[in-house]
Amino acid sequence: MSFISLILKNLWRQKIRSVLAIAGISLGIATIIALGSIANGMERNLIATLRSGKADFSIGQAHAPMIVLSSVPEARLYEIARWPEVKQAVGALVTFASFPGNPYFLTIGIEPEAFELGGVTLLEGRAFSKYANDEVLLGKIAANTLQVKPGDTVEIDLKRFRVVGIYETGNLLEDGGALLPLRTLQSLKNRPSELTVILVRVHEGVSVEEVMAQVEREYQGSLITLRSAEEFNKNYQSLSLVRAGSWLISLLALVIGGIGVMNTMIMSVFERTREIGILRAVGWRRTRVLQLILGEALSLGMIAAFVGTIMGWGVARLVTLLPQVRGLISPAYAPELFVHALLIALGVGLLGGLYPAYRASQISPQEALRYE
Amino acid sequence: MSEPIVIARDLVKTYENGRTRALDGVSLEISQGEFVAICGPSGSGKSTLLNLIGALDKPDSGELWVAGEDLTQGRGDFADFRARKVGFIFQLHNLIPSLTALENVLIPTLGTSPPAPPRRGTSGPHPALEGTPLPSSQTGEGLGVRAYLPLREAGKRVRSDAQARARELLERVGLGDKAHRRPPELSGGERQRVAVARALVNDPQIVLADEPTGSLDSKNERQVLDLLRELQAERGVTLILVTHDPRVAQRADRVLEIFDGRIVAGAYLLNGS
Ligand SMILES: Nc1ncnc2c1ncn2[C@@H]1O[C@H](COP(=O)(O)OP(=O)(O)OP(=O)(O)O)[C@@H](O)[C@H]1O
Ligand SMILES: [Mg+2]
Repeated sequence: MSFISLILKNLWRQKIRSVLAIAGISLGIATIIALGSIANGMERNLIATLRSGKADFSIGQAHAPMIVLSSVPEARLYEIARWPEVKQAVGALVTFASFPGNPYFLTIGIEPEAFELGGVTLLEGRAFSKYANDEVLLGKIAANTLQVKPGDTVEIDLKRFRVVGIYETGNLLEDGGALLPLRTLQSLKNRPSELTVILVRVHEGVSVEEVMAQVEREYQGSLITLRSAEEFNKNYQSLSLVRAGSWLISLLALVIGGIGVMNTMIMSVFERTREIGILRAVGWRRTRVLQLILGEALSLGMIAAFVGTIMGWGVARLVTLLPQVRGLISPAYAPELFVHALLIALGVGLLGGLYPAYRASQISPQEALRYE
Repeated sequence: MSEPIVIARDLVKTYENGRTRALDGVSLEISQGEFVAICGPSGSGKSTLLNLIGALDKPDSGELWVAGEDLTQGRGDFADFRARKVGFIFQLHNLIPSLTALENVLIPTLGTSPPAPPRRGTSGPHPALEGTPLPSSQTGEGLGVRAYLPLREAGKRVRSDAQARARELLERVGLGDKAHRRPPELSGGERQRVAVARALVNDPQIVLADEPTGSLDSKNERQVLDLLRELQAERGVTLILVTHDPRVAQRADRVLEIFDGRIVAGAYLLNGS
């Protein structure tokens, strides 16, 4: 028998209590994993939005918490489009709209001329005309889920639209959404002269970096340029509401889990007073008793990290199967997420175990042995 | 007789801020290899004396030397002393109910890392390291990492060593076939024999037994006492046994009588007796 197996045997001894403590922490961990992976996945999709086309870079609002919350005045588009280095600049409005069975349906307002820059490929039917106020293109996944063909009508934000064609961009989120003429979406959302992003393509032989730098200089503090998904990450991640929420949940999990473990371990130490006295009598040092109890608490955390990760992964998978969100969500399991969860679980074990372990190490063998 | 292994002079121990005087100036000597019974009425201070000898508690004043160590000095709480030099046997509830007999016997060997303290009399390298002369290129000697590799190895060796010792002791106390039973599945006498094996697993010089047969019937009492006597003779350990039963005390080499915290008879071995 080794020290580690003694620790596990002690947990096994109080099966129900250990299982309850583990269940409590696992729920927190599962929530972190499920929400985190879904948030990561949504963000990754949003980030990749309109990045698959032929644009050299895109422009968004500086300090926007998320890409969909970016707002750029349309006037900027006309200014930049006139620069001699710029070959083509187009704007798009990216929003969520309500759709039968899906309140968060991705809708992109864009002009037909911008399809190439945005990476939009028509699969069926035709493009809408620039000022048509009742025409819509559906993404491949959306059309498939809704069983809609060109010629059918759909309702977006309570307004009827005729489906004129089906498109594909290769981006899960976009293919699960719809394209509308820019003006139509602007008036539908009551956001006239407003864009989310500007896509820019420069003339051949012109340095993309220089044009990007020029934009940042010209519109310092109001616009930012973005070239890759990673840059989007850097700029939007830290401010993301979803992430803030995930941190809050982590903190809650840490506190609630820590209190749970502390309660479990204090009871367990109290019940084993005499036994700990015997350990000390047969020559265990105080630090060894401390290691034993802390080891038990940390083991609870580790087991919970394992169970919670599997649960969280399962929940995220289940969520993707819900018809309401199909196509909208594909969880992304970043390694940092698992490290984060493991650290939380160990933090819970440490936080909850330290005080009981200290108490246990202070038990006097002489007094514990008198205690019946 | 040989050297004294316990020397006490004017030991005083009080509890509750001096209101209870558990020991009131105790002086005594016990020789190595002796079997001494401490006898006296309830509350006379028997357990208190035993706890001081076993370094479970510190005296308020007086001198106390046990197995060459001054137990009134030092900041530590003598955990290592207890692990190496003494083995305890208590009256009741002294096994961990969720562990098997064998695992219970192993408990004292898990108190340090690497497990198990050196055997008696070896002041040199850890016994587990003997016979593992690693070439200096492998030990990294001179690089300051010398201890690392052998220590890891030693951990494993010591563990299997301890395992073997524990099995041997369980055989010796007649429980070889019940090594994997848990305490609730053993009789009172068997449980106490497991406790005897546990007290001996670290090869102590002194075994301290506080009413070890206090909760046993007379048949089991005799069996456990016979066993303790035999083991004490075989291994040359010093056995100090607390009892208030004169029949039990009779079995000892010497009876030390205590009354109201003072020794009233048997404090010293009379020359020639
Ligand atoms: N931790 C303690 N706190 C307070 N008083 C104590 C403590 N330990 C012992 N005493 C007191 O010291 C005195 C001697 O106790 P001790 O346990 O040594 O007696 P004993 O001879 O072993 O008695 P018994 O035969 O009943 O076990 C008693 O009056 C006891 O109440
Ligand atoms: Mg007593």
